[in-house]
Amino acid sequence: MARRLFSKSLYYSLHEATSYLDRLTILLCFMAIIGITATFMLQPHGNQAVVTLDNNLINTISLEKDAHYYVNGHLGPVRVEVKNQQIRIVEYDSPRMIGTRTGWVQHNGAITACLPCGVVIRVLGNQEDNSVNYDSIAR
Amino acid sequence: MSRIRQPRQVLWIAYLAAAATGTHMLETGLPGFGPWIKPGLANTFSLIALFRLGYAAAVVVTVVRILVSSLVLGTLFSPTFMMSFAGGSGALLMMALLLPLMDRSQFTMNGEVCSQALNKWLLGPVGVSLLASIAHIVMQLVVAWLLLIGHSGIFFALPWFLFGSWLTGIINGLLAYMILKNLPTGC
Repeated sequence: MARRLFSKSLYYSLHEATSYLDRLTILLCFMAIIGITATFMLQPHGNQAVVTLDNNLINTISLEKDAHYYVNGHLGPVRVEVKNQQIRIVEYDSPRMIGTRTGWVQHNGAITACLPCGVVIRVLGNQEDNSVNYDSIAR
Repeated sequence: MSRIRQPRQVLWIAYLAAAATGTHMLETGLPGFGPWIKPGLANTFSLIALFRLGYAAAVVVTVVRILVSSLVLGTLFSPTFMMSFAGGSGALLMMALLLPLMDRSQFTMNGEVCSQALNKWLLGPVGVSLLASIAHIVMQLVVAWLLLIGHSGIFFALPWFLFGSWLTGIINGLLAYMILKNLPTGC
């Protein structure tokens, strides 16, 4: 049975296993996924960011002018940097440094966070109201 | 739709359900992927049941797989179970929609219709697997959004989930095709 499975070349077995409609489906699905990804990537840039510590609103930062802020989290201060309408957090002490590794975020609705520090930053657009909606787990 | 009439067909459903349950439980223990990301190899057996025995068999294999594996793993009626169930029902819904477009003639158990190659303008295992896996992940995300997370930010993960399900859908479809080709059909 193993010989029958692997005796043919991979290309030939792919060719045999799929009909025209299969290949068309694969192609169309790939294009649709690229399209959906593109619409997510081309989200309008936000112009303000909401900084929360332990789900408490600390500050609403404008992304229009470059600045530095410090937030005192559970693991010491966290630096929040704004530059070129982008925002990032830089942790000094965190187990996995996920917030620092997330890097710059700019799109409407994008999130960068250091959960061990308790600091969560969410980018908001102009037209959205400033209320932060928490999910059921956070509540 | 072909009916399940013979004891042999019922036995095949049992074999496939057992294989799917075992694969599901092994997959849950896979390291490195986390509870949200699985290759979905267990669904290969639903696909085999669909092509070999018909839609009713695919439903039975999927439902038995989800119920038994969650019973054994101790996650019955927990969020994990709800996610599995949502995904399984989404895939089954998509399979039902694709029934008129499917070419089962090479794979039916008793060789009701025999042919040497797939019909060019009908769907084989790969196409059905791809569309069903996308329906699976979309249904899971929608149910997670409605029942568990309740935050529309979950849809920011959609492109990654969709690309993953595209890839695993094709791979599982090819695996199902290879297994189906090597099972005796009576042709």
